[in-house]
Amino acid sequence: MEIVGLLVIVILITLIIFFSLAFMSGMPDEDRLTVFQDARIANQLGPVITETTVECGSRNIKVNELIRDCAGPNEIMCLSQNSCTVLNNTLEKMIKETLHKDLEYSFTIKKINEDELITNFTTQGCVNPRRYDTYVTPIVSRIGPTNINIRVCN
Amino acid sequence: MRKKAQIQNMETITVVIIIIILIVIGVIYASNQRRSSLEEERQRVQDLEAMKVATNTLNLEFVKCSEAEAVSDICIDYFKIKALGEQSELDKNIFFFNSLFGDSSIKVNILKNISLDQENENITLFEVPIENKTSITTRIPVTVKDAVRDINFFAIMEVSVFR
Repeated sequence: MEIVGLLVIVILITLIIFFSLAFMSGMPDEDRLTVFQDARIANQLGPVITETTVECGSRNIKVNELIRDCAGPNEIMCLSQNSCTVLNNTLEKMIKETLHKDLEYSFTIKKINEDELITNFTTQGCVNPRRYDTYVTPIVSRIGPTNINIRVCN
Repeated sequence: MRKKAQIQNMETITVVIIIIILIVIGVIYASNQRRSSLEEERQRVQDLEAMKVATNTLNLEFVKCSEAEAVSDICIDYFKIKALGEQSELDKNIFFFNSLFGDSSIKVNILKNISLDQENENITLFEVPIENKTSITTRIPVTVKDAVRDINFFAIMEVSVFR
């Protein structure tokens, strides 16, 4: 009878070890390359976007000028479209090309002093994320600081 | 009495056999875990290799934009990358570029339709002709500067490292 008791203990210990190993190996591995890529994209996207040239009627202007104008005086007109419309259309194309379709992100441009959103592209899963990494690109303008905020959500 | 002793013996033998079976199952499970961790290690090394090639490419001095001798981290020069693409195809330069980029393919997709409503342009900086091999691809946004027309294009650099 004692030996049966020993057997029961051995079986219990073995089951505990198996289940704990199975639980540990079942934890999702972080995809290193996706994390690197997402971080790199989010880190570089702001500066790259601001330096991009877009056509505005008969002249070319940089996106950071569109952002400044949209945040402030709203004087720039590109044919029949104002700076905010051109900015939103341009940003939409760029974001679609770069941020992975499965990625949950929030892309916003905000006037700091007034806490006003100039543009907002946010996926559903990023509305109340448990964890996120934020990448900020500041844009200096005479009406006050404006930031491009890219939030990569988990 | 004898029967009782026999039953006890059988119990002991059964328990020992079960313990041996459990040990064998444990050894098989452990060896499977070891095999899968070796595979994970191999994949980790390849992922790091892809990251290394991507980072090295962006840090190449001879493709970066420069203005008054100041270079930019996120900007590459349109004419420099075109020239690099042509040079990397020459037989005499294969060894140099292979030592720099390894078994990889580096392309820049210039999205001219965003800036100027023109057709996009693809420039291949480096390509190793490898067939039937899987690859890991990283895509990073960069600025491609056309210094002649003073236009900055939005572009995606694709670095594929072959396994």
